[in-house]
Amino acid sequence: MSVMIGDPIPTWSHGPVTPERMALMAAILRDPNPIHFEPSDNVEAGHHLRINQGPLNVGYVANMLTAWAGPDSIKRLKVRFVANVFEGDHIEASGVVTAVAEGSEEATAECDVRLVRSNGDLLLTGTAVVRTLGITDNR
Amino acid sequence: MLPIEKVQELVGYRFPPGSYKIEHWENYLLTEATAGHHSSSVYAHPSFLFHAPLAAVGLNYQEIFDLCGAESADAVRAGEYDWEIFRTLEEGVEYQAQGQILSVDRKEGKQAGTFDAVVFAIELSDSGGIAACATNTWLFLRTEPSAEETSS
Repeated sequence: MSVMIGDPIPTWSHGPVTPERMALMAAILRDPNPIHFEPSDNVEAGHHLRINQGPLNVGYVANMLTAWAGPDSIKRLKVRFVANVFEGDHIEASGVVTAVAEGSEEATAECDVRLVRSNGDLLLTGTAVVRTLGITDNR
Repeated sequence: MLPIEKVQELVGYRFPPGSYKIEHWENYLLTEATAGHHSSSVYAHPSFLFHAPLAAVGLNYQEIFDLCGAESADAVRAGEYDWEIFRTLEEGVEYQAQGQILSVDRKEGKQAGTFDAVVFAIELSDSGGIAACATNTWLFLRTEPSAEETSS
C-alpha cells in the first residue's frame, strides 16, 4: 500500500498504566530509581503516584509504529520528553506522515509522532523514519 | 551543587567497550512491560535501544548516576532519545558496543530548576558493522545550596 503525506498512523492506546508493568521494566533495566516502583511524594502531580519509565513511553510510540509498518520497520526514532506519565494514566500514541521517499531498495516515510494523556496533555513529541514495505492498512 | 566545570570534565569520557546479547526471555518481558504485541520474529523490541547499549558497556544505572554526580536516584530524568537503526536488533546476536559522553550543558527549567543535560552516544555493532546508534540525553537535577551551606 502506498503511503502519502498527511496520512495518519493508526493510533495505539493503552491504559491504565500499571505499577506492575513499571516494576517489571525496572527489574529488566536494573533501574534503581524509586520513582518507578515506590509511591512517594510527588510535587508535580500533587499526590503519591509512580512515574513511568522513559523507555516505556517511547515504547508506546514504537508499538504504534511497528503495529503499522512491521517489527523491523523503524529506521530512526527521535523523541523529546515533555511530561511524566503516571500510574493510572490512559495514553494514546499517534502520528502523521510528513514526507515519503521511494528509493531503489526501499521506500520510507518520515512521520511526526506524539504521545498524549487521555485529558489531552502532551507527554512526548518526536519524529520517526519507517520502512513502508510492510504497511497493509493505512486508513 | 556540583560545579559545572566538574561535570563538563565528563565530555569525551569513553565508556568501556563491551558486548550484549538480547535473550528471548528479556525481549518477551520488555515487550510485555510496554503492553506491546508479542511478535513471532526474532526482532527485539525497539526500546532495547535504551537498555542494550548501556548493558553492553557494562554500566548499571547507579554507576552512571555516580559518574554524572546524581544527587539521588530520583533526581534523574529522561530528556531526549535519538535512536538510529541500520539493522533491527535481534535476539541471540552478540552486539559489540562503544560510546562516549558527547556534551554536558547546565540549564534552567521552570519546573525542574537547575539541571545538567548529559548527552551520550553508544553504537552497537554486529558482524556486518554498525547496527544501531543510541544518542540519549539524561537530565540530572541539581539543587541550589542552602544559605547555610553557602555561608559555611
